[in-house]
Amino acid sequence: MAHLTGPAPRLRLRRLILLAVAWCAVTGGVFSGCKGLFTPAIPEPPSGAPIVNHYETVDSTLATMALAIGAKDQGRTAWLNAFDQNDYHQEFDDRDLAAFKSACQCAGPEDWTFPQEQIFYQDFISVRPEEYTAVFSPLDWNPDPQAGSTETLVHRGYKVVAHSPNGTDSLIIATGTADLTFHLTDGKWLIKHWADRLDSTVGVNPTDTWQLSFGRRRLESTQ
Amino acid sequence: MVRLRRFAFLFALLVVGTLLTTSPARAQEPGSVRYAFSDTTLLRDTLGLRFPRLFPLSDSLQILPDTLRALSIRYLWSLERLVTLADSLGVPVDSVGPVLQREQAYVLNASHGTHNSFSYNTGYTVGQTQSAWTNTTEYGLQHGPVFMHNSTTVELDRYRVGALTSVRQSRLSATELGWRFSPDFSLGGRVGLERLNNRDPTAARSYGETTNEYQISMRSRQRPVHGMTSDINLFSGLLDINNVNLEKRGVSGNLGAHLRYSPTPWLAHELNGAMDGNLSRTRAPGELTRENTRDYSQNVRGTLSLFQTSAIGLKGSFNFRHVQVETPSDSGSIHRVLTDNWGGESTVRLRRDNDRYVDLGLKTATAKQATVLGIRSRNSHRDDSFTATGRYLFWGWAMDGHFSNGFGDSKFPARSDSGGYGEFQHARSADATFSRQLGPRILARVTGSISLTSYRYSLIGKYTTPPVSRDQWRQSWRADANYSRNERFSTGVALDVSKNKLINIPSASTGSNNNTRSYRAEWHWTCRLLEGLTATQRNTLSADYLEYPFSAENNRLTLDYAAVTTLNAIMNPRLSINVTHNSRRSPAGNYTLYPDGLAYFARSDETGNAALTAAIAYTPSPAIAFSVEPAYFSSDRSAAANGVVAPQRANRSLSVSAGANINWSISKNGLLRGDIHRAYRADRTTTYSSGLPQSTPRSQIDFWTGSLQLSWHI
Repeated sequence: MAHLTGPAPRLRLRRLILLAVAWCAVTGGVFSGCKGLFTPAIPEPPSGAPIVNHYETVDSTLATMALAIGAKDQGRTAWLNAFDQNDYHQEFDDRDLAAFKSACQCAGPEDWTFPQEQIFYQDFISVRPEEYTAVFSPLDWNPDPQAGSTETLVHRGYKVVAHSPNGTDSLIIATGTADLTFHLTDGKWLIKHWADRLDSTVGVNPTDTWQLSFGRRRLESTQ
Repeated sequence: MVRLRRFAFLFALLVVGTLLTTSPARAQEPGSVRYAFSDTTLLRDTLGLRFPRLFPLSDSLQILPDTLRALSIRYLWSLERLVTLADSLGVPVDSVGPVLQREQAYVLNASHGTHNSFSYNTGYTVGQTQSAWTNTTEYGLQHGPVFMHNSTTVELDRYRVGALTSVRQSRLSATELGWRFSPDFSLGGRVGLERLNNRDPTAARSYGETTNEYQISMRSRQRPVHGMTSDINLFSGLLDINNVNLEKRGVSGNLGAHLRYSPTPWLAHELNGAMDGNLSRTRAPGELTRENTRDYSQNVRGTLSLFQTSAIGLKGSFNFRHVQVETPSDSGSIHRVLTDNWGGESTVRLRRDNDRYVDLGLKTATAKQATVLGIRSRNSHRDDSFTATGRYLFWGWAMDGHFSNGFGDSKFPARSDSGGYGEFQHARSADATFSRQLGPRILARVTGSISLTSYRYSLIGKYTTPPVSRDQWRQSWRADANYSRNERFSTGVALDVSKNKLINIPSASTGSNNNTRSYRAEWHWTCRLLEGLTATQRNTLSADYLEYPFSAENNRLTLDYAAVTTLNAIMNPRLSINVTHNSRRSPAGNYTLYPDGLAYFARSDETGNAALTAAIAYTPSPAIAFSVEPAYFSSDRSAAANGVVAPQRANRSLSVSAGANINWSISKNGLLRGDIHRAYRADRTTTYSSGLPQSTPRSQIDFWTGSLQLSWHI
């Protein structure tokens, strides 16, 4: 019957103490003895001043994107957050697409959505090692239609310039125009559709081979 | 290394402590506190079925309670019988049904004399855009040592897209004729024929697939020594495959073996092995020359159990799989695809009883998967992990703890033409739960957990865009308390606090690092208002603070208020009504820095959802039941534009589904089962432009869905 009545209270207390010691030892090992097991890594400080993300209006979204390109690596999140992750599509200029297909002897991308944009950004900021400045400006010859409450279309010209460290030389690495459709999502105006047009004054095969449109740069990033 | 030694020492201490408290002969104490927070709705059943000891059994068998319950209903066996059969057959409890069905059909198990069996199943299902008609016959004949078996299935599927309809037809037939020379050996032949035709109006042309197999069959069973049984089956013959990708002709073989060795109650070893393969002459359709190809697969699995009912027990398993498939490519060359998997795991259980034990486990697994670039660029993944799970019931406290530490090493060498990357993952977690009965009516439980998963990446070749090295950290605790006044009324509250951190390591990505602090409070109650009328309500309140350490301007707060109320009425044994109302409101916004240097919350958007659903079921007899399920859903969203919150979008939808179910036994051999429903749904969306509503036209859809199955067994 002894095994049915259980151990004596003193034995039970001894076992409890032993278990408590074992538990404290193990938890001590886990939480302090093996310091670092649950301690996350310390991140590197952001390179350059952090980008303040503003997407409350169409113009603030474009300004944030321009700042993002200027910050290069550090602006990756700010640039990508300007796009509607679920619904973003980019449309190429037919001339850019034909020239790219001819050059690469390939079919070219069937569509361009958010995942491709992530790859493009990383590739674009590596085009030149110098610092970049970007600007999106309204087009006098193509004014914007009346803005909608949740969706709006704007026409913008864009230019990205790479500057030498002493500021004496510069190189245009992206130029063109874009018809941008913005959608209001969670209080943010995000790009839903980007119809890219190359700069006609530069042409599809520019004399300065750096002066390509964003669309052509996106196509080049797939190689 | 010093850390490892310290860890080993601490574990040795824990093992010794547990061993000292082990006394196998000790009677088991009731552990009801442990199951106090289980989902007791699983125990209810309108068919009058009972599931005694569901939670302790599922806990002991390490299977989900609803799975164990479903197995009991599916095979119409009590839980006790299910567990007894699993013990007797030496298989996991979820394998009992398939093993018994397989053994029933095994030719070496057939009894003497002449037996005929025939079963026919036909089923027709119709949906909104597709319909399917399936016919299956199974015929078995045994006359003395001669046996014959045929299984034929014909399936016709139709899919409608717009005005176009595509048709898919498949026909399978397998026939085997053999001679049973002894209760342990048979020899015969079998023919397997498969046809698949697909007609798609949007495709350039129809396509099909033909497979013919002619094989000799050999089945044998051995009992070489006491406690050991084995089966060896061999099928080998000719193969002929034609489809849009290849034409393959040759010889094929399949060798399968199963061994079970259990000479004593404390040892059980099981081994399953299978080898498939074919040697063929293969070509792509349209090519003139044929190439030699070899496809084969090897699959070995084994388990070992030692001292399962003792104070110290061991359970281990291993697996190995290798597959090679060769197919002709368009260029005429042979494309080889290799797949490899192997791994093993072992668990040592130091056990006093079911409420006092420690499990220590090690696991390793490796997988290599082919990529489109060929066998030299296979993706690979290796996992190694250690787990410790402990449980102790002491002075009314039920304590559960879990710790795991795992490493994953992956290689993706061909993400692009320029290369790929490697991923090293280190995941560790610990959690503990304490439960206790506080007085006769109150149950309390406290849970705490912490976890950290690290991802680190290395480049292979010149790949330019590997994922960002990062850490994901989480810490949480939750306190629950349940109060049961009597069987008519119970209520409970819970508070849940958690903190999550996303930490990108490189400076280029740290701008998006963020921390989320979440606070959730919950109150729920259940009250039986009248005999047959029960009301249940669950209210939740939560706040998620999203903070960006390097970009405070993006900080965001999301609030959420939700309530779900259910009325469940059983008017009489034939009529039941269930009504549920669900409402949820979620305002959210950002923080704006004002000139006084403080950041103030500004609401930027708000979402409100509400749903009202009902389910009415009337069952005049066990053979037929009628049901009606209406549902109304509304969603409103407003957003801030230029600093003013205004309506943005509103959705309303109504859906109704009504129909009947039938489950009718036709004499003692037949069963007719099926259902037919008519579904209706209407939606309307209103969007706001400059504050003015613009409604879209109402969209409506209604269609029939149904299925009918007739089974006949002789």
